[in-house]
Amino acid sequence: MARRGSSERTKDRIAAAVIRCGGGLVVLLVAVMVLGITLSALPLFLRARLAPPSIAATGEATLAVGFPERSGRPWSLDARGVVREASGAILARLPEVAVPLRAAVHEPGGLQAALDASGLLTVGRVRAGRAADAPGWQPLTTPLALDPEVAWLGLAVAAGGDDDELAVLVWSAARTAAWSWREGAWSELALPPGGARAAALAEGLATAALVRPDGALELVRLPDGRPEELGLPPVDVALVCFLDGGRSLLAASDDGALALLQAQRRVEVRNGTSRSLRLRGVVVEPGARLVVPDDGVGRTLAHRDEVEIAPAASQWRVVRRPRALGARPIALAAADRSRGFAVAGADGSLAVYNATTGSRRVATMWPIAPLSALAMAPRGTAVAGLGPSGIAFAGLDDPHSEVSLRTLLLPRIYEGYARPRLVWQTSGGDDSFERKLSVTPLILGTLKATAYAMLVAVPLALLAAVYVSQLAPPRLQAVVKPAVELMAAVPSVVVGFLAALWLAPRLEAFLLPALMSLVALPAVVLLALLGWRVLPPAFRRRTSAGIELGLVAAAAAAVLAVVWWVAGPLERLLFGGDLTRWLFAEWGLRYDQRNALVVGVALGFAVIPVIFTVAEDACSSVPRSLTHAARALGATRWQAATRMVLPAASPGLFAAVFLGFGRAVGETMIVLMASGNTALTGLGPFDGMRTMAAAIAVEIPEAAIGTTHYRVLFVTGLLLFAFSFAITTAAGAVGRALRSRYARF
Amino acid sequence: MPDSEPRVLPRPPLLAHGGAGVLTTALATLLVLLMLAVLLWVVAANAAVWFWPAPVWELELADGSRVVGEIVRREPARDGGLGPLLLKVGNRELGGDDHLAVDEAAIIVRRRPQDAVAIERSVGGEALGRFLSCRSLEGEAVPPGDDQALAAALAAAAAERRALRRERARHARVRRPLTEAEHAFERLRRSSAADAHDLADAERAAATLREQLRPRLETLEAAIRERERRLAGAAVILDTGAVSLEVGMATVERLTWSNRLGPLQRALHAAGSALRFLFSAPREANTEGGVFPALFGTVLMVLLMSVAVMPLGVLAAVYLHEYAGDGPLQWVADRAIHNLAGVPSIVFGMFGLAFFVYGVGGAVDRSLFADELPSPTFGTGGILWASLTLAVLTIPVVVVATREGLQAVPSSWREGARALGANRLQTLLQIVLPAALPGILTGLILAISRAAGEVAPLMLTGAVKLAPALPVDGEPPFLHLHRKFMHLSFHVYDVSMQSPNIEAAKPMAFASTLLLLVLVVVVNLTAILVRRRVRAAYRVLEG
Repeated sequence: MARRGSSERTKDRIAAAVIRCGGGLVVLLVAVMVLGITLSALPLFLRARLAPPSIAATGEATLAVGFPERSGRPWSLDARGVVREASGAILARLPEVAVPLRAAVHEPGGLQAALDASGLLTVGRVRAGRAADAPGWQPLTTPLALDPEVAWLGLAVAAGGDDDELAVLVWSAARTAAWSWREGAWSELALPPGGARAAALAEGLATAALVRPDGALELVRLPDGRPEELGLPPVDVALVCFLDGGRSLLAASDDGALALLQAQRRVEVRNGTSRSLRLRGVVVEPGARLVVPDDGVGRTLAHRDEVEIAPAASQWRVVRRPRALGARPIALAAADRSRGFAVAGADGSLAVYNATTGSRRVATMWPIAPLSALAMAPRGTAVAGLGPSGIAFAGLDDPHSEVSLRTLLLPRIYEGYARPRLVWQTSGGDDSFERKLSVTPLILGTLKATAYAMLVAVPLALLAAVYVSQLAPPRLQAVVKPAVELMAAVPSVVVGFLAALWLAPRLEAFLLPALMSLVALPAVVLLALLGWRVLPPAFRRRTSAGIELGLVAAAAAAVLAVVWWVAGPLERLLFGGDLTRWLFAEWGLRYDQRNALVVGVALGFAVIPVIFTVAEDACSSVPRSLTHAARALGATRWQAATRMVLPAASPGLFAAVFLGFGRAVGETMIVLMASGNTALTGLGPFDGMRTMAAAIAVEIPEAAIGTTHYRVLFVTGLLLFAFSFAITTAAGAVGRALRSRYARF
Repeated sequence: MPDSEPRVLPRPPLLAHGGAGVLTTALATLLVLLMLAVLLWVVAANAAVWFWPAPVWELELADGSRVVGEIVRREPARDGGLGPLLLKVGNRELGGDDHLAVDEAAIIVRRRPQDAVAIERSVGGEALGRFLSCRSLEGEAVPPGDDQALAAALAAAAAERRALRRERARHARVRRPLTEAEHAFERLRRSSAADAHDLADAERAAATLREQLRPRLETLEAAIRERERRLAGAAVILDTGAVSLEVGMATVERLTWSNRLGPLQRALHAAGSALRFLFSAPREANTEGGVFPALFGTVLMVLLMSVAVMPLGVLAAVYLHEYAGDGPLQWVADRAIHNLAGVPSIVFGMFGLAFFVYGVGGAVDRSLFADELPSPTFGTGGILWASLTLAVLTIPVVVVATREGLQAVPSSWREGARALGANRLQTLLQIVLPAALPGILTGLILAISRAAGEVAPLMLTGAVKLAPALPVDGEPPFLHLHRKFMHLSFHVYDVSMQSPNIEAAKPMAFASTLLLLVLVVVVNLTAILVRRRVRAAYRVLEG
C-alpha cells in the first residue's frame, strides 16, 4: 500500500511537471514566433560588412581595374596591354599595343577601352570563361586613330541600346571629342567646344556629362550635342559617373560634397479651356503653354479634350545629396546592378553608398593610397582600388543596401518621379528597375480599409448591442445572438468572394440609389416614429416592446422603395444617366469597381460580430438592479439604457471597439479579394488600396527566401504582429482603467 | 418610445423620451440581421441554381439567327430599364466564350424544344443543343426518337471509357518498375558524385527491365489504342442553332434531356449533381467537376491539426486553471495566449513559412532528403506544415474553451475528491477532466470550424489550386505529409479570384461556398448546442 502510494505520488509529480511544461511550451511558442519573424526581418537593418582587403601587387604602370561578371576578384590592365587576374595570371593581351598605353578604362558591363601613345584607341572585352574555352581579348571595334598631339586626360566608353553599338568619349584640358561605333564604322558625335577635367558617358548613349576645367557641370544630349537643362547644378565638380544604366549621374565636388542627379521627364501643357488649370501647385492660365514635370499629369488630364499635352525636354536636377566625403575625391565607381557606388578620397578614405537611399553604407581607410582607379563588382559584392603599389580588393556583404528606415517610411524621389512619393512597387520590366519598397502605402491602405470598416461596423454593432441587451424582448435576444454568432463563423473568404463578385458589380451599377439609401437612413427612423404615433394607443400598449423592429422594417421598406423609384430619373436628370461616368468627367474621380466602400461593407461584416459580442456582454453584465431602479424612478427604457447602462458598460464598449479594430487591421482575405490590391495612397471612397496583410499574402509566395523583398514583407508582418499585441494590451488596459473608474456602479 | 408613458398624454412630442434612439438601435439591429440574411440568401440561391437543371431555350433572333442555351440571369441595367439576358450557350470549342448576352428586344420566338440536351463533358465544358443523331461505338447511326438505342449506345460508350481507364491504370502499374529504374538512373546521372560504373549498372538494369516488360506493355498499348479508336468514332451530334456539333463520346460524362424532366426527375438530377460535386475531382481549371480532393484535404488537415493542438491546448488550459498559482510564468502564459488570439492569421502564415517550412523543413531536407536537393521535399509547403501552422493559430481557441469548461466544474467537486484522499492528478483525471469534457469538445469543434474557413496561412504553407495526388494513397508510407494539398476555403478563393473565365467559374464558386458555409455552420451549431447543454447541466448541479 505504501509503495502504491509512493508510485501515485511520483505519477502526480510527473504529471504536474508535464502540465507546467505545457504552460511553458505555449510561452515558448509565442517567443519562437516573435523571434522567427524578427530574425527574418532584422538582416535588413544590419550594417554593411567589408571584408579585410587583400592586396595584389601588380607590375609597372597598371592603368585600369575592373570586375568580371559574377566574381569578387578583379582584373587589371597594365600599360603593356596585359590583362591579369588578381593572382597575377595573364588572361589576355591587347594585340594592337605597340607602344605603352597612355590611358585605359574598364567600364561596368565589361567594356574595356585603351588608348596607346600613338593615339590609337581600342575597344574590346575580355572573354571570361571556364578553363575550356580560352579567355582572351575580343576586339569589338576597329582601332580608332586619335590626334596623337593632344594630351588626352582620360577616356570613357559605354554600350548603346543595340548589341554592337557603343561610343567613346575622350577629353583633354582643351577639347573633348566623342565617336560612336555603329554598323562597323566610327562616326564622330557633335559636342560643344571646350575642354574638360572629367567626363562620363551614359549607358544607352543618351547623355554625356562634361566637367569643364573650372568645375562647371555640363550635360549633353547625344547624338545631337544639344545641352540639357540643369536645375541648380552642383559646383566645383571634380569627378562624374553615371549610375543605374545611365539614368542617374553622380557628381563629386572638390570639397568632397556628393550629388545625385536624375533626369526628370516634363510635358508641355496647353490650356485650351476658359478656366485656369491648377496642376499640383502650378497654375496654367487659359490659353497659356507651360512646361511642367510629368507627374502623372497626363493621366489626370486625359479626360479633358481641350487640354493638350506634349512631351518636352527633360531636366536634370539634384535629387539626393549623400553624406560628403571628408577629402577631395579622386576616383568613383558604380555597381551597375545594385545601385551601389564607391568614392575614394585623396586622404586614402573610401566610402560605399547606395543610390536609392543615398545612405553611406561603408566608410573606411583604404590600405593603399592614393588611388588612381576604383571598381565595384556588378552586383555590388566587392570593391577594388588601384594604387601605385598594386590592387587592394575586398568583398562587400550588403545585400539589403537599398532599404533603410527612411526609405521604408518616408516619401522618396524615385527614378523618373518629379517629387517625393510613397511607392510600393516590387518588380519591374528589367534588371535595372529601381524597386520602390515603401511600406507606408501599405500602412495607409490598412488604415483606410480599417477606417471604412469601422465606419460601418461601430455604429451598427454598438447600437445593435444596446438594443439587444437593453431594449429587445428576450424572444428577440434568442434570435439575434445566435445569428451574430453565425455571422462570426462565416469564413472571411466567403465574405470576400461575395464582396468581390456579387456586391462590387452591383454597387457600381446602383451607386446612386445605394448612396441615397445611406443618406435616407434618418428618414427611416422618422417614418417609423410617425408610424408609432398613428398607431392606436390601445395597440401600442398591447404589443410587446419588440414592435419597434417591425415598425423600422416597414419604414425601411417604404423608404427604400421611394429611393429606388426616384434614383433612376434623378440619375438621368442630374448625372446624364451614369453617376460614375459623371464623377470621372466632372471631378476626375476614377471609380474602381473594388473600392473602399465595398471593403468597408465586407470588412464591416466581419468586424460587427466581434464588436457586438463583446459590447453585448458588457451591457448585459451591468446589474439589472440598476436599470430597474432607474425605471422605478420614472426613467424611460431609453433613459435607463443611455444614462445608467452605457456609462457602466463603457469599459466593455471601448474594449469591443479596440478588438474590432484589431480584427479589421489583420484581416487578409476580404481585403485581398475586395480591395483591388493597388497600393494607392488616396483616401477616397471610390479607389482601392493594398493592405499589409494582403501584400504579404500575395507577394510572399513570389519572394525568394532571404531577398530584400522577402525581408521587407516580414517587416510588415512584424508591424502587424506588434500592432495586434498593442491592441490586445490596450483593450485590456482601457477595460481595467475604466472598470475601476466605474466601480462605484 | 416609452411603454410607461403617462396615459394623460396619449400623443407625446415626436422626439421625446428617446423614441428616436430606440428606433435607431432597432434599425441597426435590423441592418445587421439583413446583412447576414443577404449573404446566406445570395449563396444559397446561386448555388441551388447550379444543381437544379435549367431548361434549355431556343431563341430566334431578329437577325434570323438561332441560339440554344440556358438563361443564367438578367444583367443589371441602368436607369430602371431591362438589361440584356445572359445566356449560357456552352460549346466552348465553337467560339471560345460559353456565355452570350442577348438583348431581349431582339428575341422574336422563344421555345423549349423537347429534343434539347445538355451534355456534361470531361473536357471542354458543357455542350448544349438540339439532338440530331448519334453514332454508336460500332459506327452505326442512331436516329432521333429511338431513345432506347441512344441509351444503349451511351451506356456502351461509358463502359468502354471505364475499360479504357482501367487498362491505362494497368499499363501504368505494369510499367512502374521500369519508370522507377529510369528515375533512379536519371537521379544518378544528375548527381555529381556518381561514378561511371554505377551509372552503367543503372542503365543496364533499366534496359533489361525494358526488354522484359516489352511484350506485355505492347499488348496493353495495342488494346488501349483499339479502345481509343472505337471511342473516337462515337459521337452525339447536336444542332447548336448555328452549326451541327459532334460531341465525342469519349468526353461525355452525363447527357440530360433538360426539357423532358418532370419535377421528381429534376430533384433526382439535382441530387445526382450534388453527389458528383462532392465526390468527383475538379476539371477545367477547377471550374467544373467536383471538390472531392479539396474536401479530403480539408478533413485530413483538420485531423492532423487536431492531433497537434488538442494535447497542447488542454495542457496549457489545465496548467492555467488548475496548476498555476500567481507566479510570473502564469502571468506570461496568460498574456501570451490572450495576445495570440488577436494576432492576424496571415502572421501565423508567415511564421509557418519561416519556421516550419524554411526552418524545420529545410533542416529535415538537408539531413534526410539530401539526395533529392535542390528540389525540396519538406522544405516547401505541405500538409504537415499547414496543419502545424493552424494548430498554433487555434491554440487560443482550445485554451479559452477548455478553461471555460474547467471553470464550470464546481470547486466543491475538487475539494471533495481531495478530501477523500485523491491527489491532484487523480482529481484531475477522474473528476475534473471528465466533467470539463464538453468544454474541451467545444474547443475542438471551434478550432475545426476556424481551420476549415481559414485561407491566408494556408496560402503560404502548402494549399494549392490543384494537387497532383491526394496526401493519402496506396503507396507506402500511405500518408504523405510533405505533399501539397487542396483545401475547400482556398478552393473558393482560387475559383472566384483566379479563374480566367469568371462567368464559367461562378457556379462552382457558389457551390463550394455553400458547402463551406454549411460545414462551418453545422460545426458551429454543434458547438453552441454542446455549450448550452453543459451550462444547463451545471446550473442544475450548482443550484
